[in-house]
This record gives sequence, structure tokens and C-alpha cells, in this order.
Amino acid sequence: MLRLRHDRFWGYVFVAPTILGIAVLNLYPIVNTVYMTFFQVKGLRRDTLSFVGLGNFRDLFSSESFWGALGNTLTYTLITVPLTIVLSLAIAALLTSRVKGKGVFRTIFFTPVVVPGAALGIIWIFLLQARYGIVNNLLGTQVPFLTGSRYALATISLIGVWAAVGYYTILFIAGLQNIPSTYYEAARIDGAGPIRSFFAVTVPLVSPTIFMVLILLVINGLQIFDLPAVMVTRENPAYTAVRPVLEFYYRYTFNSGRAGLGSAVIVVLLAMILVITAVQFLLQRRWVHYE
Amino acid sequence: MRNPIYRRALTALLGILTAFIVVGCDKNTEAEATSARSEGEIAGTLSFATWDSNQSPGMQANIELFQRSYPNVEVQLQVTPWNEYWQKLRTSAAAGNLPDVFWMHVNQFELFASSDALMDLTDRIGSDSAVSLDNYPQDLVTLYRYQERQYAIPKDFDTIALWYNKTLFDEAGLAYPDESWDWESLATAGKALTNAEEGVYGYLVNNDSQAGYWNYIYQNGGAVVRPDGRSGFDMPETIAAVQRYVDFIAEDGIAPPLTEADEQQFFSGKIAMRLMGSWSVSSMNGNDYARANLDLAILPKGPKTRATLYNGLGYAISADTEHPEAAWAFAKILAGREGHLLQAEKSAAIPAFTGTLDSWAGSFGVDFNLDAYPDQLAYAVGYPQAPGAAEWIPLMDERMGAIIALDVPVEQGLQDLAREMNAIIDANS
Repeated sequence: MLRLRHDRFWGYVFVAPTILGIAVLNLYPIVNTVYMTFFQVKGLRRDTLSFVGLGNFRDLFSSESFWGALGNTLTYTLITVPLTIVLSLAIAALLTSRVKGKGVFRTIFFTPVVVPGAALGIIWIFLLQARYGIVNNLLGTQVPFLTGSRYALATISLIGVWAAVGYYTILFIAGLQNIPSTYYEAARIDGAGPIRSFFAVTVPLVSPTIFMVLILLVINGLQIFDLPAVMVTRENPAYTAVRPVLEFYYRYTFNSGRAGLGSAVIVVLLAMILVITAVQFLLQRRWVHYE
Repeated sequence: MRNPIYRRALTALLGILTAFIVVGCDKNTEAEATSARSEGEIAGTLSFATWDSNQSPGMQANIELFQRSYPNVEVQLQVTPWNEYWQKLRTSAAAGNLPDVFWMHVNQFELFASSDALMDLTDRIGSDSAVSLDNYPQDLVTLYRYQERQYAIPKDFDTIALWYNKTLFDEAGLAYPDESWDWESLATAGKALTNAEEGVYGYLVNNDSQAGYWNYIYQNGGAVVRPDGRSGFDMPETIAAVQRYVDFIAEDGIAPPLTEADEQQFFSGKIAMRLMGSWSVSSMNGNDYARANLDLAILPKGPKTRATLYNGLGYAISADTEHPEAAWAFAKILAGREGHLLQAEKSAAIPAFTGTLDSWAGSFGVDFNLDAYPDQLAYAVGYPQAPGAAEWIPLMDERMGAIIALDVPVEQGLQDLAREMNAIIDANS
């Protein structure tokens, strides 16, 4: 008994630095953010607080442009999540099979992950310029990829997929390499071709990885900020068609000094992420196979 | 003490304690130093934050001038690019550790002044015979006034001019723009210079307020903010001016559609004319293509009047500065006649101190007709001001984008903008 308590004590001592770090860097800001949503905060110093109850949420939900931004963010997520999963799983499957120059291809697919989002954005601005950009010149077209309000969100979503695929490919490669080759041998003996064995063996066995990737992608998708912020600035006519939810947080909190309203944006986003993630965990039992 | 975690924790603790002691001592000695008022005895280190490295020689010259009278004050010049500058300033204002002296811009001023982040200079200016706000254009002085108190002193001013490509004008056999030009001369020359199939356009219409449509609005007798403080976007004169601006694309076809426009094309001979503010001169001066092919003229006159927007930066002091006397002394040097002359001679910016503006244009040693900028001061219009600028300026940018891209009809878009801008003004008044 004494022995156990002693062990537990040292256990707490060893996790204390991490717990402390999370408490100070994560927990406190979350609690403080939720607290701030009930106040009107004016100015940079955030010392003029006045209680407004749910007033910030009322302001937010009565703003048409906030709903527009919510729609943009969901659209971005709906485009990027399935595309990224399908593409990175396909690329991972190809790169675990016997292909020459695997290392080279892995490096190529992973490269965009290493480049900061802002830098990627600036390069694509040049490439996709409507009149003088290289892409339109090669195609012989003048498509306003980043300035036309009908195109810009799709363009940014595709760039988001391209930038993320490398990272998730690595996760899938790790997942695929964990599948024992005996399953494939059994499938071959049973007469399954490569496509059949991909769907009957690979997909179910890699489903825990698919699930994890899905969770990560949805969270990242809902938190999209850097690509739109760099590529479609507020002077751009496509701005309102692209502007994500986090842009409102940034504008309220940092540009107009209304941190209460900014916190409300974050809490709405947090609630969305929590609900969607919870639903995914409930649904996973139906399709995720743990060995 | 064999456990490395203990050892590390102890070291960290000791480090923090030492830091506290050092900081504490530092504060004490500073307090003593600044309480002694005579120049030579004021000691300490001032931080001085700016966002334009092109202006660093001018600012450095000012620091040297200051240190001649205050040899014991060290000034650290911190240059941060525009976007990061404001991020840094906003977060340090929240934390109460702003730089001691820094540049202020009119778009950000209200936010900082209303947050009590800036030192109120009103009484210091009133009681110090070395400073008089009468030495600067009144429009620039009032930019930095909040609730009847003065929070910054004018540093410089900027105006807008019409830049053009001499080579394209020569090839088309056209006379260069001059003071006889009006809007229609711009349209006529623009048509002669445009070859849309080749991607060459006479003019650039962009979603730029200060160096764009705002000038047209005031040249047509309209306003962005009416004299009574309401939005001017629903004035008939404003609507007509924006319509004319948009028609350079929609009717005359002398400017590329907003979705296709690329400002960089001005530097590869694909755009013959555009508006640019005087803050662009340093970068034009550093561009070989610009030096060989481009020049500038005053803005074409509008149907009602001549006008250019003008705006200026200010020198502000942190409300929390630990060295208020040293910071004030430095700000006085920066804002003084000699300080303004020095920044002009180092090509930093057009000085705002009355009687010094001739010193700027010649300082570049290039053939650009730079006098076009200060020459327009007589009829320049001050930067429009209304409460809630941090909200209505982004709203305006957003709405004007749709209008100039021809997605929304001019009149309808501007009426909506005026209504929403008035709501923001009300909420912030």
C-alpha cells in the first residue's frame, strides 16, 4: 500500500512539468477566452470590461458576413478533407509498392509540407495571376483563379490539398507498413487481384489511420487561416467569397481591439470542432477496424 | 542533488531571481536619473520603433542630432516591416511595454489613443516654448487629436501623383501628362496607349483608397466623411466620381478588369499610368526600370476642383515609458525644424515643418519630377476621419472590391456602404 502511494507520488512528479505547461499555455487561455465572451472589451489593453451576457454571440450571429465566413470555412473543409484522404492514401499505397525511386518521390510529395504556408501562398499568387500568370499562359486562358469570386475558394482549397497531401501520405505509409504481408498472401491465394486486395485488406486494416487523419484534417480545415489571409487580401474582389471564420477573430481581436467579440468567434469554432469530433468518434465503431 | 531535474529547477529559479534583482536595480537607477532634469544628466536607453528601413538613414541622423545634447541617452532604432510592426505594437500595448518613441499612422491612431496607450502631449506642448503645433499644416496636427487632446506630433506628409511611362508615351507620340490635364485627358491618352489584346493598358484602376478613388471623390466635390461626420459615400458627387473611376474599366476599357490587374505590370511596360503616393519614391528610386522609363506629374484636375489626399505620420510616445523626460526630449528633436530637415535631406519623407519641404525633392539626385508631390500641398485634402476607422476602412475595402470588379452596381454598392459605415460610426461615437 505504502509502496503504491509512493509510486503514484513519483508519477505525479514526473508528469507535473507537462501538466503545468498545459495548464498555463492551454487550459488558462481556453478558460479566459470563454470568460471574455461575456464581456465587451474595448481597446488594446483589455481593461475596460463590461458584462454583456450573450451579447457578443448575438452580434456575431446577426452579422451576415460571419455566416458567409462560416459557409466558406465549411466549404473549404468539405473540399479538402475527402480529397486529401483519397489522394494521400493512394499515393501512400503507390509508394509502399515496388516502385523505383521511392525515396525521391516521397521527398517530392513531402516538400510542400516543409515550406511555410505564407510562402506557398505568395508563389501561387504569381503562378495563378489571371492575365500574366504562367498557368493561364500555358492554358491560353484568363481565369481569375484568385480574384474571381466564383473560383477563389476552390483554388485555395486545391492548394490546401496539395500542401497537406505529403504530410498525410507519411502517416498512411506508416499505417500501411504495419499490415502483415500474410494477409495479402492469403488474399492472393483466395484469388484477389491488386484492386480487390486494396479494398478488402488494405482499407479495413488501415482504417484506424484513416480515422486519425480524418479527425486531424477536419480540425485543420475548420481552422484555416494562413492561405486565405496571404492569397486573398481584403482589397481582392473575391475576399468575401473566401474569408474564413478565423479572419473575424483576427480582425476583432487585433485590428479593432474588440477582444470579447473575437473570443466569441473562437468559442463558436471550438464548439463546432468539439461537436463534429464527438460525432466522428461515435460513428467510428461502424467502420474503423482495430485488430 | 544528484537528480538532474532538481538541479535544473534550482538553476532556473536562481536565474529568475537574478533577473528580478537586475531589473529591479535598473528601474531604481533610471528613476533617479530621469528625476534630474538637466540635459547632460538625463541617462538611459530609449527604444524607437519604425516600419520603413528606407528611412533609417534619416532617423539615424536624428538620433545623432539628439545625442549631441543628450550624450548619456542611448537610442535603439527598431525597424519592423509594416504588418509585423502593428502586430508587435498592439501586443506590446496590451502588455504595457510599448517602445518609448514610435511612428504612428492615422489608421491605427484611434485604437491606440482610446486604449490610453499613448502619452498625452497636450500639456507638454503647451508649456514648452520649443514646440508649437502652428509649425505644421493643421490637417496633419488634427489627425493625431483624440477627444481634444494631442497624442502625436507630425513627422511628415505624403501626397499622391500620377506616374507614367515615358517610353510608352514616346512610342504613341503623345505629350506627357502635365498640369493642364483633367479626367478626360487621362481617358483620351489612355485609349491611345491601350492595346488590350497585347495586354497593354493606358491606366491602372485598383482597389486603393488613398492612392486611388478617394482622390477622384474629392476632385468631384464629394467626400468620404462629410463635414458633419457622417459617411459621404451616398453623396451624389461621390457616386459620380466612383462611377467615373469604374468606367475607366467598364466604358473606356483603358484599365484591365480588377480581377486581372497586376500592379507589377507597371514595371514591365504593360501599364502606362497609375497613381502612387510619395512613400513609393524610395522604392522607385531603387528600381532600374523605373529610373530609366518612368516619371510623374501632379494629379489631373477633376470636374469640380483640384485635390489630392494627404496624410502624415506622427511621432508618439508610450504612455508607460520609463523615461518620459528623455522620450519627450527626443520627440522634440524629431519634430523640430532641424529634425525635419535632416529626414528630408536623407530622402526619408517630405517634411511637415513649414518652410522645409523644398529640401526633400532634390535629395534623391534623380531626374524624377518629384516636386509634383509637395507642389500639391495647397489644395491637399486631409485623410478622412470618422470614429471606428479600424472597422469601416476594412468594410470599405471589401465593398469597393466588389464595386470595382463590376459585381455590384456603383450606386447600390455605395448606398449600402454608407449605411453600414454610419452604423459603425454610431457604434463608436
